[in-house]
Amino acid sequence: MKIIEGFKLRKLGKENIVIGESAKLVNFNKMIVLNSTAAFLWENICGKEFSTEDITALLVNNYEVDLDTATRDAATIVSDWRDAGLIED
Amino acid sequence: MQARITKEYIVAGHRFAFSAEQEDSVWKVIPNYLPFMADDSIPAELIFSVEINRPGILNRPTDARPVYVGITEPEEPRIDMYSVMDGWWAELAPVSSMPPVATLRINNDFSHGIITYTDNSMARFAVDSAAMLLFAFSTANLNTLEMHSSVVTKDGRAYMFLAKSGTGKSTHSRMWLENISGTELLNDDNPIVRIFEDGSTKVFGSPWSGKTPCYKNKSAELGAMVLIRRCSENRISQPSLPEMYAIILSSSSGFRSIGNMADGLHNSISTIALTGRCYILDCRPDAQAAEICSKEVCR
Repeated sequence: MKIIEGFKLRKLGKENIVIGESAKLVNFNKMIVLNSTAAFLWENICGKEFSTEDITALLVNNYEVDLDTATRDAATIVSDWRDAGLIED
Repeated sequence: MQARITKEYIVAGHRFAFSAEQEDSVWKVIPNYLPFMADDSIPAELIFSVEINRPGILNRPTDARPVYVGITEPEEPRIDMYSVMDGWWAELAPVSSMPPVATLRINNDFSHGIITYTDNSMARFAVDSAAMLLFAFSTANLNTLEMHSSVVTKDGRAYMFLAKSGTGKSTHSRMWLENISGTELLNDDNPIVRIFEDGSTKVFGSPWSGKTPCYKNKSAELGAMVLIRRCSENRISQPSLPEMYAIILSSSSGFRSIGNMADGLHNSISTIALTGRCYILDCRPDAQAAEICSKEVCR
């Protein structure tokens, strides 16, 4: 899967927001707020093919989290992003 | 072939020019620009010029590729954007159900446009639409936002009311004018907001004011932006920072998908959101709404 082209992560003070910025996304009238972990993941996988396992690995390698928790969190994040319309296969 | 003349205007400190044949009736139907005639004592860089043609047939260039086409609200004007080899091509209709009545050929950096319209009755619509489009595009990276808002001033500050069309921006302005002393209407539909290097943010009147002929060459420091929502009771609140950003974004003109416009819009919108001068007013169209709102935002 990958992040749909045209979504851009932007800084708003301490907040991280994602906005649709391509012509194809003009009907995407949402703005997504990411916490700092989600923003870190986004920066690492944006523009690339990635799997849920890649997210899990990023979490395990960069945060103090065990594999089980990271696996669950990665699945949740992928599911949330998919529901928000940010991901395509 | 008659002699062409050029007239220059300054809006929010940005200069632009129209040119047309001297005797073209278009000059008579755009009195909304007269308060903005350029005063050469004011230094302002020319950001775009528009050539106005005599009415003619609208021929889309064969190389036009759709960029932003068919996306509109019912009964709202429609702007279809195409890319062409050396720039952009826009087709304009006063309501979305109508075929285009005017076209605008734009160069790559939005500094020059050529307008053609089907007949003279469409001249005002064509010129205003073209000028608003080019103004928004060419100022997006100049710390400037063209906004959809009704704005009043009081004690030297501007209070901008934002909402979807038909929600009651103009009505809320009227509630201030009728009930809050010292209030004046600055613009009823499309004011310009500009952020200056000294950190000040000013709201400017413009030649574009929707159905209300309020074309004031005046400005005031931004007091607040207030999102208006219809409700059975009156209450005002402050949204979160991301909500403030979303509110300002949804009322700002410009195509984020074109060129590097998105960066400029983001900088301006985030700067304003970070000042925290943004509110949500759930309200009825009555005097109490204006009183509650002014009491909170004029502090």
